Amino acid sequence: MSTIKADAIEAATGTNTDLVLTGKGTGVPDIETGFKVSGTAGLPVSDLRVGTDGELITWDASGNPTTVAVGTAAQVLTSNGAGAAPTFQDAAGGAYEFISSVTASSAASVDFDAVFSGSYTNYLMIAEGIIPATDATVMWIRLSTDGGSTWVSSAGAYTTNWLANPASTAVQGSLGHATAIEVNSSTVSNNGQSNVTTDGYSAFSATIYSPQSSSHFTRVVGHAIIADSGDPSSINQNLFAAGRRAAEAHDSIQVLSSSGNISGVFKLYGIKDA
Amino acid sequence: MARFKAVPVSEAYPNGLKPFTPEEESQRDADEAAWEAAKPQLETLAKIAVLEIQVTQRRLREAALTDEGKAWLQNIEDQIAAERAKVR
Repeated sequence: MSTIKADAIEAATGTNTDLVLTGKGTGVPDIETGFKVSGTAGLPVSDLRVGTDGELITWDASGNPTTVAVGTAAQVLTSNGAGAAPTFQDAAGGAYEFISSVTASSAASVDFDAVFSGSYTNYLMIAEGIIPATDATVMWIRLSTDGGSTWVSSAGAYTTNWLANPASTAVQGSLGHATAIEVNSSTVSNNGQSNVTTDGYSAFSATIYSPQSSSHFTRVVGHAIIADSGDPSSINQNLFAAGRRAAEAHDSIQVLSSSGNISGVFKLYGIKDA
Repeated sequence: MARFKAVPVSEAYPNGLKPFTPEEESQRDADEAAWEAAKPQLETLAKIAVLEIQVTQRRLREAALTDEGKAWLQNIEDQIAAERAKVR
């Protein structure tokens, strides 16, 4: 092997002439580790070969360089484990999966028809910005077994047990034979929901357990903040544990006010079983 | 005036509103009438709950140890009895 010793090599002819370094046979130019480009060690990213927008560099199972194919919008890069290149895939998501949303503006009721299915065992409802048209009312929840064509509303169909603290005083109570689940207790003084925006809005979350089960009573457990009627400086907390008093497979849920219309934003999520 | 229910926006209900059926109108009328009819009883139950929670451990000790405490407790008991009589 012969060696050329020089501090610089330039192309000899022309104005814009490439400098070619060529190996022999299967040999290729071998550049020392830590080589510089324009005086700086390492190859700048901008000097990599032009590729496809959105692809990523990786190595395949044989250790050869390759690219991760472009995913679709909102997908995330997901490891496929040792020995396999990662790929873009749909995000696995959290424990809650959005099902449906209703924005009510002075509606007589808020209905989620045919939303309970075999996809989930339990569900979560988040409701906020709630204000009734009629002052000092109670929020009701009802269930349906026929896709919302009719709502279970017979006397004694539901029972609710509360722990409420209107006027900062804890009061517990129950309503064992009601026509609806009560989010804020009707048997507690000063616990009605305000219909005045300056009193603030009400909100609640409620977990619905096994609504589709025909062997378990559907249970609803929730936590509500109720805008105190007539007092913007006061809010009432209501913890409620409620349910149907019969084992039925329910497929729909409804929220309404004990009297008059209701406004607010209501969202329903399915809770993954695993 | 016809009532509407708020539902998820869909092709069938692009404005998220679905009119009540005649059966639902009847049900809602009955609901609201029952609510109005039950109000006096509910208010009475609420009053009883407020009276009951006033009987604290301290009030019971005072009732056991002083005439004033006993009189106060008797007054509360009388008020509860009067309210209970309304819902019987």
